[in-house]
Amino acid sequence: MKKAVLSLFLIGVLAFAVVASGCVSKEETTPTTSEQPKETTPAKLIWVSTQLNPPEERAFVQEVLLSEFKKETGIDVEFIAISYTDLATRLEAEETTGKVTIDVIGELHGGLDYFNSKGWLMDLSNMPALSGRTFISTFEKYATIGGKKVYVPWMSATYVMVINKKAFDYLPDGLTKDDVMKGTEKWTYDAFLAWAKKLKEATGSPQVGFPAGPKGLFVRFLHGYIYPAYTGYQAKAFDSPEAVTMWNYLKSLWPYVHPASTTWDAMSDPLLKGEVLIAWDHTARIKNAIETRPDDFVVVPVPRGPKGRGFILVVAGLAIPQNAPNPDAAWKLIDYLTKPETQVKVLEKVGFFPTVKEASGALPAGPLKILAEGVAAQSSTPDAVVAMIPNLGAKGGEFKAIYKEAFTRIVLNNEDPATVTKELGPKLKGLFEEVGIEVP
Amino acid sequence: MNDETKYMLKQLAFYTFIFVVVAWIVVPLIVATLYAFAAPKDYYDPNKVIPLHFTAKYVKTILIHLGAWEAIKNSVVVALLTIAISFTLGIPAGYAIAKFIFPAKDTIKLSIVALRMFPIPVMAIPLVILYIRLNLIDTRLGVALAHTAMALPFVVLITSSIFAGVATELEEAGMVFGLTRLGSFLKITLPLALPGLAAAAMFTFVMSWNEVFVASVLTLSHRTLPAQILSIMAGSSGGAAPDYYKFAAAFIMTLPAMLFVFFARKYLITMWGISLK
Repeated sequence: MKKAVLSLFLIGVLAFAVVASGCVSKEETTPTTSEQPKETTPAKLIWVSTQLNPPEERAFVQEVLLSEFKKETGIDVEFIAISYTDLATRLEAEETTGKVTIDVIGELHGGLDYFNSKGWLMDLSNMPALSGRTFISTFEKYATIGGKKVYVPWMSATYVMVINKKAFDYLPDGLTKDDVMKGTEKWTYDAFLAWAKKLKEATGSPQVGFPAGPKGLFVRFLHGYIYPAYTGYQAKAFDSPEAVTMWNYLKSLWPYVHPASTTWDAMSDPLLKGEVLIAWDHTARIKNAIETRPDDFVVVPVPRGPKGRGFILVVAGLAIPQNAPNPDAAWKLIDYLTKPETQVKVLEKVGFFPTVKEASGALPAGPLKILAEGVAAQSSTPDAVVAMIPNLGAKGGEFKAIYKEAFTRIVLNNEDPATVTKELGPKLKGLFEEVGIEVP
Repeated sequence: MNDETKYMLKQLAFYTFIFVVVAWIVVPLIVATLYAFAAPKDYYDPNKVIPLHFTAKYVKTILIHLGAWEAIKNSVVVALLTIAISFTLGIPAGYAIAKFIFPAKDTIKLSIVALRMFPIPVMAIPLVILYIRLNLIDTRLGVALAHTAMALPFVVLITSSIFAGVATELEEAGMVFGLTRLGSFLKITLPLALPGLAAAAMFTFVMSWNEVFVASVLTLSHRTLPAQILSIMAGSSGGAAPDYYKFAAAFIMTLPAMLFVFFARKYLITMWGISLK
């Protein structure tokens, strides 16, 4: 008898599952849309994004961008903020089963590169041309991987230094505020060290901060900023004598870096709380400091090294998954998001930079002007060595891990830089060989 | 030292201990609530520990514009569904384990607990694939089923210990006077076990309310509160949400749980078996 009761329960639960999950109604609606594919607009586009996730940016996307898009095209879009790992899990599952619900993906170049290497993204080269805009050619080339147009460049960002104006009172000899603001010859890593030292001596505590926490982006500083500045390359000269000089420099800088740096993920809060006076971070992660107290901070180019001023340009792109349900409507959303007018709006409200030439001259009004000016100063320095995060696909994580390991061992554990880099160098170059791209 | 000072010192030590324990729990709650409503200028001012200007803007943004209110509703629905499903499945199992002797009983008990041994992240992709195939993806019921799988072992064990606490003699007496086995369960054992079952329900509710991984992987649009909050606060730009948003989110997360515990606390005591004698 108990068996019968139990099986009744099970059947009941199952029946409930089928009804509540809506399989019945879903199957009814699919045929109608496939009969007239051109006439019907999808009920709702699903746009998943790992970008523009913080609360205020998200509110801006939903209330400004998407409501305007709906007015223009009548298409409803659901914006879903998601973390990279969740997105990867979800996309893999959807692509494996062939039942794709995601219409548009907004992700950083690195993630899209990986998804493409797995064959999960659509080739966009056959889509209609996007009129009224010229994409910055570096970005456009970067988005074409192995002859396939993987995504449309959407927003760009970089990493800069933010300086609390109080720090200018402690400038070392031979360095002026103007040098720092404009990024002249004199604004070098050595001058930065002298400044950091003077700040610590004058205030009694270290005043320089880096986001070297578990989710911080300090690794980008290593491979895209200080490595190119000292060796001229991100990875090619990983174990060169110049690299050893660079690691020794970092070792001598570290006593003047705030010890809590290894716990910080974003520098905006330490700056606002006055824990540090100088910080390096991604533009999106220091934006809040500038918006909250625009009179206290300036954004400046990073220092230069013997080989130039290394910095990274980050690109986020919009891609359509393979077998996506509504590629035409998705393309309309991509069209809208990369229009010069939209791009300027995004710059003004959330501080991500345009990827189209028509919008790239624009300077936002209000606090974010400080950010835009700093970034403009950085990219117009004559000694710029621009680095792009390499297209390593699935190996991107290992690439970062090698730099992190080198940093931990050399700077934090005080091992010999020459030995460590000699040990890790072949591993690093092996990654590029495996993927089959040139070592940057 | 005379006895009175000894006693006083003991009392002092006791109350200090109590104070520390209470402060340990209450101070973070107070801080989170206070800063959830603090104006950013006050929050970042190093000279002010207690903010003087308040705004409900951030809590409101999270609740209304970013969908936390919807997520709270989803969470409640998912938690109730989880309780319903895990009880329909768990109570008979718990009863059987408590009242009957059958071969391999201990092995079964052990294997029920062993189910909890598998780390869920390992199963994430197959789980999502299965859910897509079953059309359960993005539904509240789907999340509830996954939560049931996690809560069921505990429900079985807790209910079996509760049923074991109700004397079999009472049931037997009922059956002597003409009740069927089911009737004696419904009329005698169940009412006696009710407080304990309420405690088990609460446990299930709290587990479902707190669970974040499965909920974020299995849903995009019908997210439960923890999944929604996680996506608002962290996302890929980890740590990019300003602190006062994090406090506002913490406030939203803790408030319903605190209200719930406040009304249900007497049942929680039952879970430790005090009133089940």
